[in-house]
Amino acid sequence: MRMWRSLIGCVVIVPLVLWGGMARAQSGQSSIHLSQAWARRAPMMGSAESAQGSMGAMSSGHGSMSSGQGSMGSMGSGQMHGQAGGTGNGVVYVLIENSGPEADTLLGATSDAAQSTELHETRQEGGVMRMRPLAKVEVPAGGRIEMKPGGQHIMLLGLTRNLNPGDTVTVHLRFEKAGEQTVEAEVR
Amino acid sequence: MELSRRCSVRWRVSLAAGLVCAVLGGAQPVTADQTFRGGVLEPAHPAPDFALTASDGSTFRLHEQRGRVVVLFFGYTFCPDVCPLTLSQMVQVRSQLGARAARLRVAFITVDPERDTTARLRTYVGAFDRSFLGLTGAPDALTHVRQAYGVVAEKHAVAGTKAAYVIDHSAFVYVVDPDGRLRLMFPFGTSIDDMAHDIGLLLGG
Repeated sequence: MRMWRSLIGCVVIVPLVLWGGMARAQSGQSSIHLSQAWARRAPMMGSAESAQGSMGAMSSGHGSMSSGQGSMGSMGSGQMHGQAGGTGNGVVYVLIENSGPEADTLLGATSDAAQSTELHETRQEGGVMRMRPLAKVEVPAGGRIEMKPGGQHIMLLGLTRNLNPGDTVTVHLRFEKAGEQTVEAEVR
Repeated sequence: MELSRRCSVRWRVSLAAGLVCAVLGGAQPVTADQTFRGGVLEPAHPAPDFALTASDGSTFRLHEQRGRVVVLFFGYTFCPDVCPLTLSQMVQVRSQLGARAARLRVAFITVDPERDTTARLRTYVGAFDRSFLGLTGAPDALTHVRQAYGVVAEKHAVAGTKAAYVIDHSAFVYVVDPDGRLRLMFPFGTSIDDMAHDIGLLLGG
């Protein structure tokens, strides 16, 4: 009886321990740590069509006031619901640390808060700010990449919702070696 | 960028300008706190006047803003990084100024009239503070304003992004005093405390 019990115990426990160990090993493979992620508050704006629709009015120097979009204060009313995405953009900043002995490379990012997500960098040259896309960002072995305002950032193009302070944006970062890593960015 | 050069030169005489300010203000004895921390334009000339369409539907005429400190900066609503950062800093500046912020007018002048309708501008700046104004106008009118303030704005189609184009632009914050004179320029990276301090000096009391 006792032998049976220990046999059953082995059958149940050993795979559990093995599975747990594998899971640990898998997560342990990643030397990439993401922290201090935050997103800047940003309004989702009208669709590209509606923005273009008012351009005629713009060219005469008088803006169209007819679309009646609310400010952030009225965003909770859900007036934008039902649209696939607008033309407003957002930004996410994150601290990426690589504790491993090898460099890794950030290849891209995705987020459900935007139609597309790109890696960008703002550089200041002679008082002029230039924003350009980055194909990838290398994170040196034992090093860190601090994304911050006026520097490297994750750009959210075509927000699918308003980013109000207190909201959370989930961002998936794709690394060459560490694979996909997910981070929650609080909207400020 | 004639203005920026002048700015960097005048930076060094900010102490003198601070003294002048304190004397003109007829205020307390001169202390370090009475000295501007941003780039001072000296001598202060009248800020180039302009009239643009504001995001609240009104026509914004700079010369009608006497009695207020007007903060101007140039950007576009497509911009996710630098422009919202400046707007966000201005929210905090207003907060630091307390009741005096009622005499502060923050205006965001678009460099992208093609995309930035008044409705877009209203949504964008309104997301930060309902008192902020977005300004736009005919492309010629906007070009004229940029030239008057020495602002660079270059449109570029860039590979590797879904954005149709981006616009490189100057990131200075311009400050017009209650008498309509262009007094200060804050380069990108100026701290919120320094901006609030200097704008507070111009507002007095």
